[in-house]
Amino acid sequence: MTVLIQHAIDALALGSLFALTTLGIGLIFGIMRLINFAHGDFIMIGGYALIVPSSSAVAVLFIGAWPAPLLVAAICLIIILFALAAERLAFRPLRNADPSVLLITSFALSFFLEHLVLMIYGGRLKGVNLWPNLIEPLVMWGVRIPRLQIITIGVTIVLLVVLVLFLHRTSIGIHMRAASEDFRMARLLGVRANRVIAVAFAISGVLAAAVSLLYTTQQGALSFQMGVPLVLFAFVATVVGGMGSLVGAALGGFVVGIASVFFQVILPVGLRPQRDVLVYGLILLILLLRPSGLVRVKSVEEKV
Amino acid sequence: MKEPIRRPVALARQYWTPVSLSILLFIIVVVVWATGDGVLARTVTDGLIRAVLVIGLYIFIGNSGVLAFGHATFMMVGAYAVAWLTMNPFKKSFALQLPEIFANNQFPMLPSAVAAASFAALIALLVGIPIMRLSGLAAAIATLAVLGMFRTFYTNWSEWTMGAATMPGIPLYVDMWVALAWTVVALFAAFLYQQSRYGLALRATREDEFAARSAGINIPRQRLIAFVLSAFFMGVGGVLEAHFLGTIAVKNYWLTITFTLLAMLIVGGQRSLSGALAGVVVITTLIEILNQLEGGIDTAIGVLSVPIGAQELTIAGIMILILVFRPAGISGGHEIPWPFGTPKKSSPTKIPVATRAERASYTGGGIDDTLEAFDISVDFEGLVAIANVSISMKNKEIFGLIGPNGAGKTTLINVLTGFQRPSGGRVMLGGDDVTNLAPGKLGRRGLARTFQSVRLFRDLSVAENLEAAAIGTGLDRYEASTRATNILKWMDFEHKATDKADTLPYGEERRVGIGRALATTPRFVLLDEPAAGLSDAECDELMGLISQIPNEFGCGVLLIEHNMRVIMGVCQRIHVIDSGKTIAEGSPSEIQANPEVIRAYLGSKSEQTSA
Repeated sequence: MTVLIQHAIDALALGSLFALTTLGIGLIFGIMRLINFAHGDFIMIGGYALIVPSSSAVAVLFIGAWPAPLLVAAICLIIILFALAAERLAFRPLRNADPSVLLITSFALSFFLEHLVLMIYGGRLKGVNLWPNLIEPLVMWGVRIPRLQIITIGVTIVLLVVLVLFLHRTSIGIHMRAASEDFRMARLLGVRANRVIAVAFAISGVLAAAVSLLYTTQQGALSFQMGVPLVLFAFVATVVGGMGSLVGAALGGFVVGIASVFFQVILPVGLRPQRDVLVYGLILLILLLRPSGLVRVKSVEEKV
Repeated sequence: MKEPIRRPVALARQYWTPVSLSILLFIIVVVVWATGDGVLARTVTDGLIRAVLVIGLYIFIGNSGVLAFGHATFMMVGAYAVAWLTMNPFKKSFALQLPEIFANNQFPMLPSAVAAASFAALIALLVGIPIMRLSGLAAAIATLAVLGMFRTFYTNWSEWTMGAATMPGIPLYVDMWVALAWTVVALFAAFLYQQSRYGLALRATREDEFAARSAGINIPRQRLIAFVLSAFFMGVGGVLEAHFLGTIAVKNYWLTITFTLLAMLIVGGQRSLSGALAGVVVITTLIEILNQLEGGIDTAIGVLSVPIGAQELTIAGIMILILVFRPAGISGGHEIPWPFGTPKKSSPTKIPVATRAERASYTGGGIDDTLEAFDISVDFEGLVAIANVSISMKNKEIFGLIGPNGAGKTTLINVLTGFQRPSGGRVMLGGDDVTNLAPGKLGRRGLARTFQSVRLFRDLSVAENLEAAAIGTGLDRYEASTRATNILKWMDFEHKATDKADTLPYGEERRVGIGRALATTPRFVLLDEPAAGLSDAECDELMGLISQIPNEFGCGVLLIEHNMRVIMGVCQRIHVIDSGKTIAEGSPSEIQANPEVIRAYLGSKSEQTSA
């Protein structure tokens, strides 16, 4: 029983990280049909912002040594700035382009950001000791749970609730939902495109910052391609969930996270390294059965 | 191809794209060979291998318009497969535990290369079956799942792949000439595919999915064919690289190579073979220069060097600039033009004009053919668009469907052609229940339509627009081209056959749309407001064409129109709907005299146009 609870919490925590990542991607996709490859690099940049820029092997904490509230605010701010700059410089000129052009542009941008970091910080893995006490497990009723997992799940719940309230209770949030239903119509009704898109990128940046801090704490190391595995899983999770649906995005994230832990647990030790093969295989299977994903979205489908 | 062999010049002209590119590459290779510069020769070989890979990528991405991020997988599959086949058994015994047939044998190089590439194609077929059913964007993402899946699998499949370690000892035999030979093969294969009926059908889906489906083109199948062929050449590229470097490692088939190849295709121009090659040349040159710089170059002002990572940074930067400022790439989608002047206009193919009887015999419908709809209702989540509408029309009849704006005319056409599921009622074609069949199936059964927004395949020529539609119903390329020519002659439009569809003025676009619908050998053709936006003179011309359709093509015409002059001028019977309900049916004179119709058009809701 206790083992089961432990696995369940593992699965929820990993699912939470994926869900936060897919939401960051799904929010922007809904409005401007951009699947943002560079989202993983925003997460990566948040990690590198914690340390002093240098290519030496030993990482010296910079923002990472600040008190927690200040640290969180600073990382959010930095990622938001990068996200807004990306929107302004790369994506805004392409706003009327085909979604596949936006996708390939974000792929190029992702490589650009990764190698920018590589040039400044070097390619070596950098150990970072952010909030080490969060790694220590909490023992409750015989179940050993790392505090970080509890925090990850908690942060995800809080962010989900805040996001839902934001989208339903604020005027800019309602504008965003209108824009993702029908962008052109929303603009005709007076929704300001630039503002809605900028806010979407900013929120996406905050979600990336949360993942960045949680993931860096968990990994204890930085690499210039650390965002890649996250974003790959988040991408397929978005497709599994149903492109264009925020509920679907979160759901897809949890499905992928839970499937990962599930296969990790049931596979014999010798086959565990092959876990991702099964996760990806499951995804292809789901898509074979439900080509539009778990949550089907009408507004993504074109009309005759 | 069933065309007769023509004069060599004509042949060279027809195949000018791969011929010209092959000649250019041949000249480069000869020049480099003459200099005897070994380092340069290696760079060129490397570039030619990349060319095979980018052509492989182009076959899928260029023709389908769907992005793919998983093609490095097929390179990897090909490379490992060829290592199992061609390595010295003694070397294999060191690190691999292969089944006996591989462990104890060393197979000849060329058959092994083809077998390995075919294995890559087979894998593409298996993963392609689910992925090609997805929408374009979702398919692109799903290819990432393939990349991740096979990378994980090969990394941990140590008995066959040595896991994450680099596998050495692959025989070295690939030089400039071998790489050139395969590049030429890839060029011709890509060109022949692109010109084939499959290539044309796929390019049509790239331009407009709805119109392609309605013409009976099976989008997943066409994409799958290109995906598999494309994977074959990715496999060839992987094989060549393995035999060129002598080592392979799973980590090399990941995002960097994916990025580099995509950058080459995008920068060069994803819509043409010349573009694909131009991208290879430009990016390879750039990589060479940056490689030198990363190593440090002695100059007059000291050693000049750039940090590691500058290479990808620069390429990514260039790629973004190209995407923003020149989305069609360096080539702009053009091929190298034929340099020896244009021969007489009529050159392409001499096709006898079909007689009226022959044209009519193309159709599948008999004299008693019918298209009927019984009690059709559609409601959009409570909003009733049409309620209990029934229509029935016969072969060779011109049947008009009119009603004020928002009456539900297009919704009814969408139901008849499978684009909209009715919430009640049945559609019968020739007595068979075809309700809820997909648009493609209905297209192949003989229901063709035009669209209010025309939806031509914009990047294809006028003739290709018609041919693609004919291919969708199962004709081969030659038959399709004959049919297209005949229809264009009938429409008096032959002089524009080779013009690109997006260069036509609006009125002519609409005419091509009708021609395209007729090219599918329809039993019934549904014209959705063909006169919208046409001038009076163009309307007269259109009326002439429409009234000829039943006898020329032996099919029935369902005409939706606002323009009363057109409707009253050509229709034998007219059905009137208003607010989703039938209000009248009869001959033009009966309809003109019907008080209900007059009220619908001129009564209390009278802002509607009646022209």
